[in-house]
Amino acid sequence: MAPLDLAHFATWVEPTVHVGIGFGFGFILERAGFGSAKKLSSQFYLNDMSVLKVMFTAIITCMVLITATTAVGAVDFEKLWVNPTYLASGVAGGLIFGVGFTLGGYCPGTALVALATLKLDGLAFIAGVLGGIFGFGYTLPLVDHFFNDVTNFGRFTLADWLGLPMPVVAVMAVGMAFCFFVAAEWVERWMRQKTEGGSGIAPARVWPRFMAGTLGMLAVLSLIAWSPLQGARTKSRQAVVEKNIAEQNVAIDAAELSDLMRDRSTPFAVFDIRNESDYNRFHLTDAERVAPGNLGKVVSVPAKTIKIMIAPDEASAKRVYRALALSGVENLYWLHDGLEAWQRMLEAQHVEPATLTAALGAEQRASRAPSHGPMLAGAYVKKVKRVGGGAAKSGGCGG
Amino acid sequence: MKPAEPAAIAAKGYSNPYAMGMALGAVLYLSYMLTSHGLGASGGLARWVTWGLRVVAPMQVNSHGFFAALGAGAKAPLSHWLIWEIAGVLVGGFVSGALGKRVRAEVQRGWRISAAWRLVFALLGGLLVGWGTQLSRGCTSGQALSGGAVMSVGRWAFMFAVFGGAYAVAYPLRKLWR
Repeated sequence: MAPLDLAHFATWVEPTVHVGIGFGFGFILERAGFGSAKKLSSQFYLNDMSVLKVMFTAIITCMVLITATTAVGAVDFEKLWVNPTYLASGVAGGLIFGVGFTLGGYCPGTALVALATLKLDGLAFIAGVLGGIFGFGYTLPLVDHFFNDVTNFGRFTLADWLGLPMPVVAVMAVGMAFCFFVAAEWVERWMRQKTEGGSGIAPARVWPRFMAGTLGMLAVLSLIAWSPLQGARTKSRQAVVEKNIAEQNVAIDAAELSDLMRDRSTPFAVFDIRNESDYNRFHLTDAERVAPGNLGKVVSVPAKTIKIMIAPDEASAKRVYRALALSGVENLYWLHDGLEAWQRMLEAQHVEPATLTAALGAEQRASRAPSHGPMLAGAYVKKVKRVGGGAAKSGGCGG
Repeated sequence: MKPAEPAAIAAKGYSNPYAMGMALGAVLYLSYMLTSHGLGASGGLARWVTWGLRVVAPMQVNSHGFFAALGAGAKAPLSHWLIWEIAGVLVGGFVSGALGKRVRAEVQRGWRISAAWRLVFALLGGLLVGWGTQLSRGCTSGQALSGGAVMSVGRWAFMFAVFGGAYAVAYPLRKLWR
């Protein structure tokens, strides 16, 4: 099932594939005329809308192909890298980018193609981009707060946002692109008439209809396959969740939590779902209280972070685990036997257990992992495994 | 007085934008299927910057979080798929340009502006774009194109912001191009 994991192939495969994909990318950009700043900038002076046409055609083509192959189960969409949504910094960066685009005539990819065909302005632009990136490295502290602000929604797709199945979003995107194409053709014709003699670009009005028709139809067909696919997926997910609960695969030993808290090389988060007064009496230093009615907090933690739940009893641990795991939360565990197990572990290590009589919260020794002696690895069955969270470690740009 | 530019564009043998868009969409799809990620450009350039800084002043890389994330200590800034992809983009662009007889040392510019000023503005535009790509975590290829295709909300917002920014200054800057 796609996507492939190139790490399973010989070491030369991954670089070769990327050179090949880059070749296709560069070839097409140049062939479309995007190695020329004059053609690119014409987009913003309305007499040649090729940028918009190429870009939106590419987006809807790829989107519909991904949607259709996901619908028939040939592709695991969860494994595809989706650029995280940072709304505020993304939009601000985009506006600055846009100004630079008109000023300099290129974007980074097209400037590389211009450079490859010896356009000296492409070279100057690339020099500028390198300088701008360099400058960003030094000015990041000034904008850091904004860069990592509250509008970080992580992996957030239009389908999630609108609450619609992917094929419906794909149909909408095709429809919108079609409107853009019709408008672009109209604007180009209008500009040609205005500056008679014109840009000499052949009208291509049959393409938008043909493309939107084909892609739209494919998207509609994938909608038919969508519900059975989702049904099967939910079923297999349910089976995994119930198996984890029945076999205690995700109920971790107090010693394992202690090792995680001391080691800190694995990102983890601890959620305490006990009632507020118990939490105030005693909780672990790393624990954040989450009311059972407010589990959305857990959902918003990055997928790859290990999430450990501290529950009042095993029954509620299982119930909350089931609900969260079925809603798609990955890397979720609970502390087996809760804080009672923690107390027992402290005693076994000759550390004074927590006092539960006053509201000491995390203000006591017992709230931290025992610091002396060796780590406890080996003394328990290790259950924490980091999985999933979208296969790709990093996306295209940005680093 | 009209610029002599349009005929020059038409004569250059570029292909139909819709056909090129479909081909690009296919390459992008292939990228997702083979590698689970899309295309990119600015991220690779960031790695080259970090590499350069590391050669000249390695301590600077270690002491600035942005560079450190790409190339501190044992991290090799150039050991990344984007570096291979950029190499491919350069070769692909060159081959297409050579086939279309468009490989020629020249400065692309509007008819009012001198070559020297055009280079200055290209550099300035590049500075803004370079800075902007890092703030927005990516450029038109990595974000708008790739993120757009996998329906990322933020990348659609980014794409409209790029068009917004570009159109907003197009009229004041018209003497650069028209």
